Amino acid sequence: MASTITSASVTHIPVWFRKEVGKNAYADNIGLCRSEWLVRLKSDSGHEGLTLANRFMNAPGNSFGSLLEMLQDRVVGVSVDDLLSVNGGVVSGPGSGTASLYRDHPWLSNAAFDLVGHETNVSAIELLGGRVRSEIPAYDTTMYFQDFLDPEKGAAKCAEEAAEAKAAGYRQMKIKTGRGGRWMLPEDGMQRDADVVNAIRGAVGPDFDLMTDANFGYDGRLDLLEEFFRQTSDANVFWFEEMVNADVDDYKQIQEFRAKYAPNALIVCGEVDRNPISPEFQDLIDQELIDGYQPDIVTHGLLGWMQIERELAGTDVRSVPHNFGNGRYGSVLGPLFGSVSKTFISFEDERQHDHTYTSDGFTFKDGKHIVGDFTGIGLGINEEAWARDHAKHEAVVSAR
Amino acid sequence: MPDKQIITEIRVAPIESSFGRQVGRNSKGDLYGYNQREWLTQIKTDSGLIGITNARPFMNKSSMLALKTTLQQLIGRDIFEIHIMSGERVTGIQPRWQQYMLDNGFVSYALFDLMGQALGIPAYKLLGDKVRDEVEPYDSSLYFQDMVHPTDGAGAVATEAKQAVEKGWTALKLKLGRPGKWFEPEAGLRRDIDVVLATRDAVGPDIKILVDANNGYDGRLDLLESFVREVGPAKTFWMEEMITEELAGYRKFKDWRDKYSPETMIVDGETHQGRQTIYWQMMEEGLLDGIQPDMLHMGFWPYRQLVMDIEEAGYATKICPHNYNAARIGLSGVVHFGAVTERFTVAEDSTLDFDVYDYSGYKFSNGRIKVPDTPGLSLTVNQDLYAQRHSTLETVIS
Repeated sequence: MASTITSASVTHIPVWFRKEVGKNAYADNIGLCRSEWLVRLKSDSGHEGLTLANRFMNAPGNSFGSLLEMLQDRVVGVSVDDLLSVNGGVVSGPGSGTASLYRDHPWLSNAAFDLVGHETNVSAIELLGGRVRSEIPAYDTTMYFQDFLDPEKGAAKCAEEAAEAKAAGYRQMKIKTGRGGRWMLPEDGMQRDADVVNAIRGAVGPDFDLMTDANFGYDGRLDLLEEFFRQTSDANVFWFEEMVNADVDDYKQIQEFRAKYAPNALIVCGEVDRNPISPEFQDLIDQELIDGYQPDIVTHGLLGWMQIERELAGTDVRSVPHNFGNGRYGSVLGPLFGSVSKTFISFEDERQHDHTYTSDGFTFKDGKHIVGDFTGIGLGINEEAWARDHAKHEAVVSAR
Repeated sequence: MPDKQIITEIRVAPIESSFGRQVGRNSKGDLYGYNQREWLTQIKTDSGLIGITNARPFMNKSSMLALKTTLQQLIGRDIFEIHIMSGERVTGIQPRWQQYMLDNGFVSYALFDLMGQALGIPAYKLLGDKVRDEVEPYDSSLYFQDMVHPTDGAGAVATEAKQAVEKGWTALKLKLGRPGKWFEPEAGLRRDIDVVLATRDAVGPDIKILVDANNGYDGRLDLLESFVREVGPAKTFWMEEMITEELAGYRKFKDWRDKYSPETMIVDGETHQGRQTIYWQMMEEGLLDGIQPDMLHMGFWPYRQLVMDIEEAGYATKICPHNYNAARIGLSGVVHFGAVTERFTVAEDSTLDFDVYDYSGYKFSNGRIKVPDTPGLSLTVNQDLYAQRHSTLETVIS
């Protein structure tokens, strides 16, 4: 007899960076702490599926109360068999009557994979079609405008933190750029961007991948963007991300800069695509102007990413899911997806620490997350920490 | 007329300071952060005077490029040409500069600093005679600390409140409004109540407790009534932004205040410059005990004009300037404004120290900040430290 989801709960979990994280091109300091809005779906067979409702909670007008109401109305009472369509042990799409649920809240599909995996005693990896690799490259994504936190050191502060990441085992790092977009004068910001990239290259040596992400900080200043490409040409940048907003003409120019100054670099974007693949990004894909596409892994969910990869099939565009803001939950879901995606490049690692979860199926070594064996998505709850820190804040809804 | 002082150069740089702890959410915004910063703006004249302000109100919504364009308009101008003067008193803003100063109130800090220095008088004296020698600040950094440290629940806020008292503050503001977004509404109400009562227990009866819901009780007047009733014994000093300004809701709120917590002030109005009709309707009906436009956003003279208008209208509404994002420089202006404003209440203090400034004239003891009597704002920049530490991120406008 099929089991049914009998309750859903929501709990706020603070997660901590290892350091104060500074600005990016448009937003003020990130800080020391972020939030996970953990959703636990429990079935009458005693299993549970986990996901994060961060996207829901961050949306204007939404609240804890409206999240509980939505879960009670649309999730509690659903048969586990109806969560996903599974053919030959592999998920082929949403289950009966759940397509609209995932269309509105794609992040819920992560809990579906988790719950169905536990119910059927298989890993979400199997449900996604099986693993293609077990070692997932990871890049440290906490190199924000750290020079603003210690202006006396300036670019050297960033180099110092990059050396720490290397000592901690990382072999890839993403550097936030785009200082001229808001926080500095455009020319000064470009110069600092270039100085930071070159200083970090000097600190980590040649066998280390450096990505840059401008969060559109070069919008309207392609002249400065070309100069940035030129000044960092010796740094062998691995990818250039969101240097400007999605615009075909601008990306054609970026292709020219890349060909001239950084022929090995990738051009990536797409984390801001809220309804992937939307027309402006499809244009970039169709015209072969980008090499990687980045909708968020938790927000769009495993089911959403299965669909994205179906749509990318036949192109040269690779999967590079965004993960910043997904906390410890993302540090499991990202590598898990990396283990099944044929075109996956690297996992965005926030390097956060927390005691709420168990994830014994995942280890980190030599700059890579090693994905082992587990059921569901491989994330459990540390019951002792839960009882101490979170149980009293958990809000539970069951059938009305 | 005082001698001309021509503005020749402006320098802007971000100055970071740390709370030393993670400051949590309020009822609508995500985690506030570990650091806070000022966009130190130093305006220099041809005689070598330097007036300072914090351009954060501008940078919160715009860019350095736009700030440069805005400040560039001051280059070559006399520091006395922007305001209307009568002797050593400011009595208005020249029509040429009215819109500019309304849009960029933060500039008035530097101008008052410069005019005070040029005339050899404290900045407050440009507005009037001193009515008090000390101003009481309140610690405004007590956000939803229970969500940062969930193990401790309401106690997390009470613990930090007690630490603030141990450091010398005699007034504290607690962020409330948990029903608004981050909690299930009834659970949020319960936690708000627990936080206020636990804090009162922790700090004792003599500390002013202010509460601020950032409109977190909008649409839940039933919960607001419960809140006002339950925290009555805590004798809060004021309740701020419990709901968005509207007359029907405020009439009910006032009734509950009168019934359960009659000594508590009702305050609101931080996000506007006090000119919207709703504030005057609320004052007319006695629904607003304190009004709170942001000091740094608004600037000295428009704020002074607001006070005069309230007095002329015969309303009892007091002055409670918002200052949270404005940090140390903002606080200095609030202290000067409070020094000459009879109906001023308490000064919002984000409690941050900035070692690149010398503000030793603002002596803090027994929960009060002394009003400095030296020329200008009495807040100077350690230029050696500034050059060593901050000049690498400096933008120079000349």
